[in-house]
Amino acid sequence: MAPFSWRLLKILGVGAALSLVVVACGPGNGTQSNNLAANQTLKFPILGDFGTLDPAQLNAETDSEIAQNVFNGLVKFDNNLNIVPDIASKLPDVSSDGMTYTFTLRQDVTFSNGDKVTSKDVLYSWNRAAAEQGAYAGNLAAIKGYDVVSNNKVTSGAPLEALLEKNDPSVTLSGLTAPDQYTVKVQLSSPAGWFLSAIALEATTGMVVDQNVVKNDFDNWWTKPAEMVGTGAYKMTAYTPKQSVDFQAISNWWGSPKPTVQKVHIDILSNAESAITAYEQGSYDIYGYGGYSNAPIDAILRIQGTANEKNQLLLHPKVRTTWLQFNLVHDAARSAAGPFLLSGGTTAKNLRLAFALAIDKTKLATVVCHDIVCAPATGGLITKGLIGYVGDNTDPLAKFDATQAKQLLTQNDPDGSKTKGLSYAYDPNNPINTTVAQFLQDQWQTNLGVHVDLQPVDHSAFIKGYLSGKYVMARNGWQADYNHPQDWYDNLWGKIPGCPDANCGSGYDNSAYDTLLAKADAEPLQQAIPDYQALGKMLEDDVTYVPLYYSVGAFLLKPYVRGAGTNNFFDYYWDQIQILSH
Amino acid sequence: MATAAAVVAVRPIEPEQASLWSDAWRRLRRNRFALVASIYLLLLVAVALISTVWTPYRMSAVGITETYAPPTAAHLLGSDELGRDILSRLMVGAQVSLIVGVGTQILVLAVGVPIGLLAGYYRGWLDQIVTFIINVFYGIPDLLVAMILVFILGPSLRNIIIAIVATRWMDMARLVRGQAMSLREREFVEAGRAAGARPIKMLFGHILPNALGPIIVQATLGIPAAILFEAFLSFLGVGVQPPTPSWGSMANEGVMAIQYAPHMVIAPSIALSLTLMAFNFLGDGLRDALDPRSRR
Repeated sequence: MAPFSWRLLKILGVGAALSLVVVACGPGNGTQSNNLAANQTLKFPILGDFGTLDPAQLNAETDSEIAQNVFNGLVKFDNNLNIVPDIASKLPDVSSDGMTYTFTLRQDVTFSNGDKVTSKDVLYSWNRAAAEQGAYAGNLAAIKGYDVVSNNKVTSGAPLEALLEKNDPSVTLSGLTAPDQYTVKVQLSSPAGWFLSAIALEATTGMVVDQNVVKNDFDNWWTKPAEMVGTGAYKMTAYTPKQSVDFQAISNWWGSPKPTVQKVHIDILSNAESAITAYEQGSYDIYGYGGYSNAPIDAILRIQGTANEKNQLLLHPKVRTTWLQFNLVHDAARSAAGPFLLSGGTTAKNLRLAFALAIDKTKLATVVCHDIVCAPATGGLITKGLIGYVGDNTDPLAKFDATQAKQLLTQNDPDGSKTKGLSYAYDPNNPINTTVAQFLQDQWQTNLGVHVDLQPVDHSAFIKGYLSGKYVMARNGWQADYNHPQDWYDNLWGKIPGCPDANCGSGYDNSAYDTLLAKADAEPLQQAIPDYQALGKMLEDDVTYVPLYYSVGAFLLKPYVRGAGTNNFFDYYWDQIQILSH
Repeated sequence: MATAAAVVAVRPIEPEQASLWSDAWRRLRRNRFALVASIYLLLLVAVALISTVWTPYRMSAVGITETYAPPTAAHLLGSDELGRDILSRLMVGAQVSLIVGVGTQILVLAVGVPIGLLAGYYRGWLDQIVTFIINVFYGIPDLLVAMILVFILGPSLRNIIIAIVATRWMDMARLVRGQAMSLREREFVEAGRAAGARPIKMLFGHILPNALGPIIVQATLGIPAAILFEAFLSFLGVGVQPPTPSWGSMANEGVMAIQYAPHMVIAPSIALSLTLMAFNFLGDGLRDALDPRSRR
């Protein structure tokens, strides 16, 4: 008995050890079960609290990536960036002159509180958004009557609600009507090939909100879970500012796909490194969602070197271009002067070119981004992959030529007096801005012999200072809202954003630019592309900016999370995600 | 024999005559910690001086090697997030630390000693005002004062020194005030006053020299405090501005990448720790050496 027992014990021991090996190499470490987990709670961190989740005021990607799961518009972008119907039952009927859009609404759409969505809600939401004049109010600018509403003096609170309730002409887009309960007719003031793209922009002014809840607390309704009512697949259930926010799936939601993830828990942290560490320790299922896909490069390198984590890293180009902006106008409203002004003629232009050519953009992408989180911006202002991208190595300002740069500097500033005491302003809140600034400083020192001071300014103060012309040189960038060149050329230069004196980083004010832009904006997209590209060429010829890099987003996704991911613009919606057994 | 023996027996033993300073120097040399600290600090000064004319690589040159590279023969302390040589930056950072440490204490002496002397010697309403101001300054958080001053004046080495002085002068003023109050009651001061010596002569000719020991100790111990303060400000991003490296800002950059490239934070941290320890050991040694009550 004794020898047999001993043998049996050994067999059982070996069996147990093998079982452990099998378990260790099982679904948790590579092969993934296809069964859904019993607990469908998705957890991820974001690195800052919301600015706002009110579509009329929403301004930041970090807010829209959350709010897009709570609100819907008449149309939306799908994962492949095609415009598809959302609350509308089909794409709109467009009149032959491109001036009238007729939307037919689905009749089964409800808000999360059960209120039915009708055309009246669309009119209320869009009139309200236009009257509030939030950052994306301009997305409705093509609608007839926008010029009147955008000049309305009552832009918030109960007074605006009162005007909206009585359909006061000062807050009513005259081109926006509802022939019946489920039809919305939009009359444009002029043809706008970009209109559908603008109203499809997730979580912004094209979204539909519920007047029944908004009117009770016009400006802050979105902060209270009970009143944060939308038409999306999820509703807010708890919100502790600067700490956490929770969402729950809507049962019997009208849209598709029906949400599998039932709860979403988001922690509001302040540090990317600790958030990534918590992800690695199993506290979170994904990292990078919510608009925080700019993971520190050292963390990415570390994860790439970790065998069981490297497959969890998703790198995807984002539609963000970063460039250096010169101040081009100095007047009573713009305090920054400097040697780069348009009024400085050829000399100033050559100095701008010298500073542009002195920067090795390829080296920047290698040193600062390890060729991982960014790529050199060599194809113009519009990011690679978007409509309007000109092509690799087509932007003359992306060239690196230290010899020519030095020559230009010597010829146009022989005694160095013009380029003495320069500074470059940036917002260090995003760590990459600091390393880029130090890289630029070294490039100018090495290749031009010019010392440029660095001026770090906190983000919100930086943006205000930048838009009011306080910096001679500054970081600038643009993240595309939708895949249309109008989004780039309307918002940064020329009369439309307010150049030279209002809402304008560069001050660039050029009547030829404005004329061509108006023509391009009115044209159908395919016809407009050459005009938009000509606008880009105009900016290049005037050396208005120095292209630096195109961004790449970094996400971490646990193997058991299915359906999460991103396209160039936004995170895939939560209702597409499933959590598998693990 | 008897005579000779008697002579030996009555010969008085002459005490070794030594001035305060030679006596202090003799005792400082016997303090091994202080001695090693002094040697380290001399080496640090040498490194800082050498770095004004030579470093292995230009301290701000980016991309001279792989970013986050660990120590190698070519880059003894590795490289940072922009591929800059950490050793070169550490050497230049020594300049910053020494300038801040010593510069701050020179200004603290220039501000604190006269104020303390006047308040302690004259007492009365002048002393009350000075004491009130000192207490007010003590009541305001020093980090807050320093950060506000740096924000207002702008982040530069000079302004950081000014900001640190604004938060540190009170220690010296209070110490000197106490010394002056004590010394003004001593006989030699009474004698000087009786002989008609002018107050300036009394303050700077008699009282100050007798208070020099504690002042030197206080100044020496104030240097590491100032270095640490500067490192802290730089760590918070309001210190010395790029491309000039500071050990604090280097540590800050290192902390960001501590899991991937720990050498980035280890090098400046060790340099900072050693320097702080060295100044503290030297200060302790000086205190023991200059304090007559601790004679052994």
